[in-house]
Amino acid sequence: MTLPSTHDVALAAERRTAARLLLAHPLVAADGPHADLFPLIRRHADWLGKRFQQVLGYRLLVDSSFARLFKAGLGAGSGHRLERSTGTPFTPHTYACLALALSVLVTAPEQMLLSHLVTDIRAAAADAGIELEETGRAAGKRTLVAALRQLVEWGVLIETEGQVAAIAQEAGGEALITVDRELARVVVAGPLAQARDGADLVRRAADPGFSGPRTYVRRMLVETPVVHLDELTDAERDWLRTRQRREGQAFSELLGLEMEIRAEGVALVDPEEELTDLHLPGTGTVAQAALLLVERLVERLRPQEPGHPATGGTLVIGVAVPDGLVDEVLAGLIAEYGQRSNWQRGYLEDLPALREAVLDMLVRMRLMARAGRLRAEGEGLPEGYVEEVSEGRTVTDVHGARPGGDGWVLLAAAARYATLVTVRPAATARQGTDVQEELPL
Amino acid sequence: MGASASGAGQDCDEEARRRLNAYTYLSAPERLEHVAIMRVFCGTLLADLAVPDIMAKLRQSGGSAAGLDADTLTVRLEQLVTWGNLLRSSHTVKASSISEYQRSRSRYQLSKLGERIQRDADGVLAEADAAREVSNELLGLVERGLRELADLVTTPGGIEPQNGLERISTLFVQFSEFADSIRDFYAYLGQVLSRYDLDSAEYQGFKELLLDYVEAITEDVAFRAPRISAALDTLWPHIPALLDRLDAHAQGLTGLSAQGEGRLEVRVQRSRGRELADWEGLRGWFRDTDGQGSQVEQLRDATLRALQSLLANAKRMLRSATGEMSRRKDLLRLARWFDEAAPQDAHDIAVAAFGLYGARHLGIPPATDEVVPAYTSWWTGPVVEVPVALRERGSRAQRGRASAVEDHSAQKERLREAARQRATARAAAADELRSASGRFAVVRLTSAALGLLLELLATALGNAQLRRRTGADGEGTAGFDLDSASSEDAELGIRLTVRRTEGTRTVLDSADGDLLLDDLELKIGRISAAADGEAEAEVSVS
Repeated sequence: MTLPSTHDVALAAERRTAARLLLAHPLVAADGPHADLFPLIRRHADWLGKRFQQVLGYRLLVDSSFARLFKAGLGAGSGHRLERSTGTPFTPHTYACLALALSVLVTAPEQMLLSHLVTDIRAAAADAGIELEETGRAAGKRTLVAALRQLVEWGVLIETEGQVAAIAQEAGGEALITVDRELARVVVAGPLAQARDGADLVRRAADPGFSGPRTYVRRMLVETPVVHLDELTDAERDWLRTRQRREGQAFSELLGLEMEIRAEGVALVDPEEELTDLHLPGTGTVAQAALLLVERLVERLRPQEPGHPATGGTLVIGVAVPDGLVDEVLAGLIAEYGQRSNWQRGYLEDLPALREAVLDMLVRMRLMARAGRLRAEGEGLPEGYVEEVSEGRTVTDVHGARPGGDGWVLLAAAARYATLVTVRPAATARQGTDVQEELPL
Repeated sequence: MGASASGAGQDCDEEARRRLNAYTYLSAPERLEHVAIMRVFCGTLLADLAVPDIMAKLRQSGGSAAGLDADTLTVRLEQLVTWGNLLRSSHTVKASSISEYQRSRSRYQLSKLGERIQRDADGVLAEADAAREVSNELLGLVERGLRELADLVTTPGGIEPQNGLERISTLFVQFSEFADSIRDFYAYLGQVLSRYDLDSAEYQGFKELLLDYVEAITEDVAFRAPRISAALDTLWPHIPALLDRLDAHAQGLTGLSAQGEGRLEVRVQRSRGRELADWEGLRGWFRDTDGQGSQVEQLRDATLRALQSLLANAKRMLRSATGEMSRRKDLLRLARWFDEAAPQDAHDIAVAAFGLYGARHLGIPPATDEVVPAYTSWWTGPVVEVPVALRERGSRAQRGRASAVEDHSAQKERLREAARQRATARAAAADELRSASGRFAVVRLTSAALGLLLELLATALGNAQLRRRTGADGEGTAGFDLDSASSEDAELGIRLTVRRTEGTRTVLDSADGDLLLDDLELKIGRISAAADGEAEAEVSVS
């Protein structure tokens, strides 16, 4: 094997940087916040395009003014969402406004007045048979502003003069808006035309299609924090277990992510801690409380003799969290850390709110979950998704590896954040008393 | 001077206004009737028509003006006279009856202006918004004509006037036809390109039009222009003389005005090519003469713009294979799905529809220096070290190397405690050994003391081996030399000296069992107190 030259190393680093940027931000505008890295994407467009297609089945479109990685869906309960600038998640109605605005923009002239845009959106709402919240009311206006703000953030709308927030102002504020129609047309990535309804869209968008298990597993590895074995079908699990070391190596080279392979599943972790939209461990009250909660829960609930069936252990992917334990631990954490770490007052005084925020974060990071049907049991599979394991192979049995019912489940990967090192009992069973044998002569 | 100039200016304006009046009939409410009437006149040459003739002709042609009665028609005709499109005929007819007289009184004929405007109007009406073919073969003819003309003009004796006249007329007809068709074509292009919403069928036709056609034209023009320009350069010095000569040969209408001696200012429009200005126009088409760029250059720019515009359309269409309306329809459906969905489902639909989420990963990678078997469980496997600032304060203020987690302090304390206990135990063992030195036979050693003794003994024997080797090298003496083998522990301040004495036997009784040492004698002492330390210390150190 020859040693890579300096040039090769620099090349690989450039490509890795560009690939990571696209994974974190699938829509990069040439003059947007990532303008400094956009030339890298342009330079390596061909290579990146081939790689994304081959590895993840994603289409990459690189134009002179933007780059778009068409990502697939993540199925139900993906834990991703759009949020207003205040951090409030989009409501279904805000999403509807966003889709209506897009429907206007794909055929819009290059420039338009804000008031015209609003009129057109209302017309579109009428066409769609949606009752737009009365835009005369402040809440309705803010919803529309939130949707338009999102479009401004994506670069689809450019506020040439004035701001879209002018809608919410009294006395009919006006703004001149430039529409980037090219961008407006690439916002949609999912198979809208084929889908029958929303649920069908979610299923279809996550369908890896032709390349099946391989593509699905890779997407989950790259896009989600942890892939637990029971979130894969037999074929997918089989493929992962056969390939995991090689995949780990490949992802390390391609994206700089390190693979952690354990009996219960696999996680790709970013040593730079940048390639993620949510940070855990992270800063702020919720992230800190989430980390500490997980730590305490693992201490209390760690199963007896967990391991891999192949080595005689019992596969435990999740353990049930008894009712009330979360509240109990959180109350303790508030007492211990609340003052010291200067936690947000709102959470200090409102335990249910803290519980909700913390559990939400842990679910989105895939360290906790609600008990429910799993992909290994056939949940959320697209129609006709072929489920075949090569003849004569035995796949790890994940049956019963996580509790049923409808309570909270602590997942195995959470244990990597337990701080207590298990002190293995020293080999006390001394055999025989013939000390002479142990003379280190 | 100033007054007369402004007076002349006013006259000019007045004249222009009067001439433009001739367009009025096209915008009057009865414009369709007007046009029909004017067509009747244009269909004749130098004819004057009376009302009944016009009525008959209108009926023949049918259309909106067919039903006009005589009175209305007369009103219309008078109106057209006022605007200057028609003239009352001066053609005198000897009438033989009253009715004939009245009829002859109201005879009309076409004015020049009226004829011209009607022709243009018919042209505009006839022209569909279609692409007009560019007669670019004419350009080749223009080039050939110019070259031949140049050859003829520069031959001794010059060109035969009639031949020259014919050639120049042909040349300018060809050129103006070509220039017109180009202008039309680009006007059409500009009109189509200004639309952003070409559908795919239009685009298909348009693509061929542009890619196959425009390029051909531009290339043709670019190819011919320098050659035409060169021919004109050759011809240029001879043109004034040539024009004079042609005028002498065939005066055309100018002859008339010359005869008129300015008596009447009859304005004559010369046929194309008979005046220097026409030639300058021709030259300006192919070469930049007035600093505003030649037509050829403008053509090139226009082509570039057209191609860019086409490209923009092409890009758009490639990306919207299904067309805009279905895209809009899809988005409206999506909006409905959103509106009907539960909050959590709406998030999932958004992820599926837009795919604009970022990848998400846990923080803090596994330690890379240890290889963990794949069957290791997360529950009991190695954990990661969370930076203490994040864990204890939820802040990254003190970022840097992940330091030990504070929770380890308990363990550290435990370890320290254990170490302390071990040290105490060893010190006690050392004391015990020192006190037992020389009376091993009667003392029963503790387990700790025996352990320490064995430790020291092993080191001492190791040292002795070393010594034996040096001895063998130096003097060749074989056998073990344990005479002064020793070891020590500086921390405990203990030293063990081993002597080999044939026939002795040391027995060490201990809690763990008895140790029998044949031919060895042990002596334990303090390091600092040892008087004979020097030499033995060297040995132990090495």
